[in-house]
Amino acid sequence: MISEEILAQIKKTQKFSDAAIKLMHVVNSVNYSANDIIEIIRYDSKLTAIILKMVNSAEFGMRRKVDSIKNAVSMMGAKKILDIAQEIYTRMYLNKPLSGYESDGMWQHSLRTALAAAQLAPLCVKPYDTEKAFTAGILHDIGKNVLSNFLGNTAHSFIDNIDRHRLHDYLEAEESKLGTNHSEVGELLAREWQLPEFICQAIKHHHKPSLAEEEFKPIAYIIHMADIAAMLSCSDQGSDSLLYEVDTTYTDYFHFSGQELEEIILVIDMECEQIQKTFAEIGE
Amino acid sequence: MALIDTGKNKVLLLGIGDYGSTNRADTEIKTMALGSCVAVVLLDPKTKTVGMVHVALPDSNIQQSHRTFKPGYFADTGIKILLQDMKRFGSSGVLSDMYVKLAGGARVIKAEGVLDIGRRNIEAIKNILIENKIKPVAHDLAGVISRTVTVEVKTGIVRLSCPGRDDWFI
Repeated sequence: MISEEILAQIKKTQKFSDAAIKLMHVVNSVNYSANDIIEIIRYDSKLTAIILKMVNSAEFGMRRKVDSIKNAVSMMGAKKILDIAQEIYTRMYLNKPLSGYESDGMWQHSLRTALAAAQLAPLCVKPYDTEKAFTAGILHDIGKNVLSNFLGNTAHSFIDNIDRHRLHDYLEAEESKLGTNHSEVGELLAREWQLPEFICQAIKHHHKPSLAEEEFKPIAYIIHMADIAAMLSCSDQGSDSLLYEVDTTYTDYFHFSGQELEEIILVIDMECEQIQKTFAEIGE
Repeated sequence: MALIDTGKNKVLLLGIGDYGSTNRADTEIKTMALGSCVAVVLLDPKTKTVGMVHVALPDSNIQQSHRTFKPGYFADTGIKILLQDMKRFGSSGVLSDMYVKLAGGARVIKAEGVLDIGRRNIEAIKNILIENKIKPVAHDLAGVISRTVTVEVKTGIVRLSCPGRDDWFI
């Protein structure tokens, strides 16, 4: 049972920009055109300015200056610009401290999960669209932005109870204190913002994918495994890092070897480092 | 890798796959938020040089190009490159001349088999130590704990920290 205070907080929580929400719907459409992306981004001046700064940075090595979103899309492709746009607006939203989780910000973990999800999507026994997997991955923990203020200084006692096996994991710890968890609240927040259904379902089931409806099981398992890969590669998300259970039924959806998982982690680290270098270079 | 001057001391901050060493007593070497990664700390009692490498994966044969780009990333190449780096401060470059401390190699709850990369990292590093006929003088490995690892060059003491837990030392 979710308290009235938490429900009120969901309604009050600052929303992504209109352009960001529109881009998530573009990802969900089967056939989007370069023009769809240009038309959305060009009316968001802040997003446009940062994208142009990024694509003109040394990391991208462009020979001539890119001076418009239209040029950026024609030179780098719509998919790449869509990825960059998502990295920018989630960074603006998720790179804030969350005291309830003793976290400096969720963005790096969210980005790692998104990069892992894009790697895992084609390996799923029911292969999934990599762009949709990336988007669901980067948003999977948005519920923590709502719950953080309600958790107070609970981290020490949560961890103590998990260590002593009084609680299974951090999800159960959240429930013991608040009667809900960040997956459930994240789904409600995604619905409040009218995000596409696959994102709502992935957020809701990312810790317990076996409970997802059949249609949404692939994306739920992809985000579940991507979250784990991200925690293993760098567990910087906060007090809850590593303290979640693997849904062992994942083997129904993935048959990767230890070496294949290691290769995925290597790619996450390489791509994440590249993206962080670019943000550092442009001073964002 | 970055050298940060806090005013009180200097901190050599290592990212994933980075390595670094120094003999400056006013410096700490630190690496943050290890999941399945392992921090290998080498202490040279003769030259008072301290080094650390942030190992992410057990075996560099997984990808040849990354081995050259970031040798510290893998257990097999990471320890070698750290020993090489410590020679700048007069160290012998021989592993058996060092004291070794290890931290990290964690997993998520119920992650076994292919998912337990932490265990494979620990095994790879311990095998290298066995080949060189040495044992770690201290370690804090495995479990479901995210570890930030800081070694104080002056004393060789390794401080471990994790959000929501009190610091502990090895």
